[in-house]
Amino acid sequence: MKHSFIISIAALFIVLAACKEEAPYINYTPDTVTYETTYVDMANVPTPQLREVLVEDISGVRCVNCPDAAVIVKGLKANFPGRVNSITIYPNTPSLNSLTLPVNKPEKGFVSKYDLRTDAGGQMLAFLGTPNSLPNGYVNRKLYAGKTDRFIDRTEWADKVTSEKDSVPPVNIYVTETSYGTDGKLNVTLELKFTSDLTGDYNISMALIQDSIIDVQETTDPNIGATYIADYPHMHVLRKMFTSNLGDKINTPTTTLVRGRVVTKRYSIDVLPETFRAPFDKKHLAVLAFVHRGSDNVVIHSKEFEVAE
Amino acid sequence: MKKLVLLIAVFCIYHNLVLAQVTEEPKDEKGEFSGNFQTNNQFYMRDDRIGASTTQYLREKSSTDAWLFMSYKFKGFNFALRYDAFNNTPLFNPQAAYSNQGIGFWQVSKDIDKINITVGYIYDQFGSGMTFRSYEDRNIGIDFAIQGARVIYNMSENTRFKAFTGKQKYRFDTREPIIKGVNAEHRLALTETITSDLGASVVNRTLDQATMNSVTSTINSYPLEQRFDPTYNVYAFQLYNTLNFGNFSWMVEYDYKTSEAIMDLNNKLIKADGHIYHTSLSYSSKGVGINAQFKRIEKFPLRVSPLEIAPVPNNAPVNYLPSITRQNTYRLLARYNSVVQELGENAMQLEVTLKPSKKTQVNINTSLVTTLKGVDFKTASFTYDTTTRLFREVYIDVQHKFNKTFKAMIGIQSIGYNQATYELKAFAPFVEAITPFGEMTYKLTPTRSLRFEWQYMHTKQDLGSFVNGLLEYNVAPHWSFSAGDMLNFQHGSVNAPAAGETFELVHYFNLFAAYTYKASRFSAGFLKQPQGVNCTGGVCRVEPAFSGARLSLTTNF
Repeated sequence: MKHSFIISIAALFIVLAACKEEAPYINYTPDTVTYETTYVDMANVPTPQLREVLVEDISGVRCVNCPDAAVIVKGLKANFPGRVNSITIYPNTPSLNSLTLPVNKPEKGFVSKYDLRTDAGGQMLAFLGTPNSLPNGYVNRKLYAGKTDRFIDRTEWADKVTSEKDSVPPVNIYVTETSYGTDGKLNVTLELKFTSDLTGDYNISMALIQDSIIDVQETTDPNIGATYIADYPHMHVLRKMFTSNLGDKINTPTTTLVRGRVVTKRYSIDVLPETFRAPFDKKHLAVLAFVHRGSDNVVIHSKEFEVAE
Repeated sequence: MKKLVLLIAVFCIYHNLVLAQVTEEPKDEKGEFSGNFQTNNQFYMRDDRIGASTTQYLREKSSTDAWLFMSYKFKGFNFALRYDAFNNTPLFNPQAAYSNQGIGFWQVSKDIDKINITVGYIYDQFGSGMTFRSYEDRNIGIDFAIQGARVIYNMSENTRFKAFTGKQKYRFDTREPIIKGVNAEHRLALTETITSDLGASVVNRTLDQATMNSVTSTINSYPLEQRFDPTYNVYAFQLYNTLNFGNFSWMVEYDYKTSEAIMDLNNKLIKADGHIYHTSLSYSSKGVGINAQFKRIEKFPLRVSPLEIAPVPNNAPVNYLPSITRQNTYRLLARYNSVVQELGENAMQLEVTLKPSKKTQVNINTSLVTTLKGVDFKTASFTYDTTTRLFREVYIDVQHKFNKTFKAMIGIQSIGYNQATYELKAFAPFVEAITPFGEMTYKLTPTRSLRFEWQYMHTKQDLGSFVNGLLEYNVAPHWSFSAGDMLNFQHGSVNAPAAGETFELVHYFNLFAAYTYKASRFSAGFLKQPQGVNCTGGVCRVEPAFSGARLSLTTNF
């Protein structure tokens, strides 16, 4: 009896403490905020903007159906002009490597020039849920009724966009400045103006996205099956995050998100050339900012802005 | 609503089942139904002078809390259900009114040989509760039941195992993080006169993704050098033993908590592991009882979520950190309480009870609480000064029974209280108070008695000096009446009159009457009480001032 008691106690301690867990994402990169201020301006509360829905298209250059998802995104933007923003995420996620690693088929004459994958994309997936297959995507990062995952098939994106687009966002998003510094940095000043009161935690995410990165894409052809497109234009590609990868907290114990609240932040990030990465083409860069709830990460509004050359 | 329907269905089905069986069972195997009911009703009368001006005084004007508990036992099964109702109650948040009602507790339990299985809401604790305790203290709005499942295995008379998993109750819902734990206890008879009660526990709390999202976004908002990797899981280990030898009893306990995000005094998340060292030595023989205790807590907040913060430790705790200072009952003696500092404290207490004769008893108690810096184990040094002091108390009372009709008690208490720390009042000075007190009980007839109690508290800090007197008249077995006044006759540091003005006396009157009939008790009172830390059963919280009437009813069936 005495021995079984001691063995049981030892087992309790060992079994419950033996497993090592995977840590959540914490941003350890140097701070990109160079200036920030906040105040309440009740005299100049703007009219709420129309809500713009965020579609995050999780893609891979070896994913044969991903060009089809890109076509769907293009169609959504055409059908709902000015109401849909998109990011194409090429995640650096080991479980998706077979679909996302750069193409390397020299024997067929197809070798990727660039690695489009980003750690930021991988961390977003780890946080929001990683699908087993591509293409897949998040619409406003919402977990829809009847679903067990946030990522949903491309065939459902249109329905979700339709259901999401008509609510009134409680915050307006503006970018008041984009400029390049002599140090190779891109500076962006973001302004949030709250048009109604909010409770709970809210985050701001701001991404640098790039259109028309020409590189290899695996695809499928009804006549020949899987094949490659050498000069495929990759659109809305996530390049870098101005904010932390999972967003920066907007409210603090002293900054409540009340109607009239104005939050201004100036971000600065490197856009210098990197090995095996697509160059930052000033003609095709854009900034996409979105506000999302801290508790469930649902995006409540998004806006895309061109970057001045 | 779904839960209610489900429970009613379960009750109905089981009731039918029981009726069907009862007709076939002998009479002594009938089930046993019992329960109790409690309701507290408050009527608020605004009094700005004492700070009685929360929402209930301005708008709702009254509040009601009620609990109906029912239990049915049959053939090793135990079904329990509690209906809770709250109307404009300040219980959960003294600054707001909360209204809701529904099933606040349900439980199904079954004994199967040496195993007991329980599902539903569970109240339990491991050892002293310093790694796990789920409990209810409805009078101060606490209900930390676990909704889940528990198995107890009584392996032998001396050995017991316990395991549970579930979520912590939050009003009529649950909080999302998962809590689970196992506990083992064993009694070892070393010799005929020496026994050892051993115990060990492991408790695990796992954060849900939504909570972790809030934690990570909070950490990501910090300056780079202050960021760290939070953990979903925290494990708390507990080892304890009580050695009984002759007239002595020696308890030792060590608790360890793995590193996790915790909130520091500035409401900032930091990553730290935690320790608790606790020991007590007791001696008791005829006429003498001595108990000495020491407890050191190092960064041991163990909550359902690290973001659950409160000025006092009663917001979603998984564990319970008891205070080892004296729990006073007289109104002015209980005005200043030591609230356990989960981020760090050293606490020590010495309690002596002497009974020189059958008619006389002397109680002596002294306790001291310092910040962690107050005790340095490396240099074996102890510091109690303005930088380390949190709480001290010296208490002595002498009780004497003069004859069959008259007994009296007299005593004195000296308190030192760090109000800045305990009540989060940054600029409040350290309270030094000295309070003589006494009580006399005179039995007029075999069923009628008079009791008078008084306290005089002298202090220059906080609200200043008070005197309290209460006269109580009891007519057994039904009636009890009392009237008293606590008078704030001298100002302190926070209520000093403006230049040129004089301090006006502040009365805290109370009138009370109770009627008891069989198992029911109805009471009505009118009272005023100052704002302060209210502690019951070692659990404390800051409560606003009260002014108004209270009606309550309790009954058992």
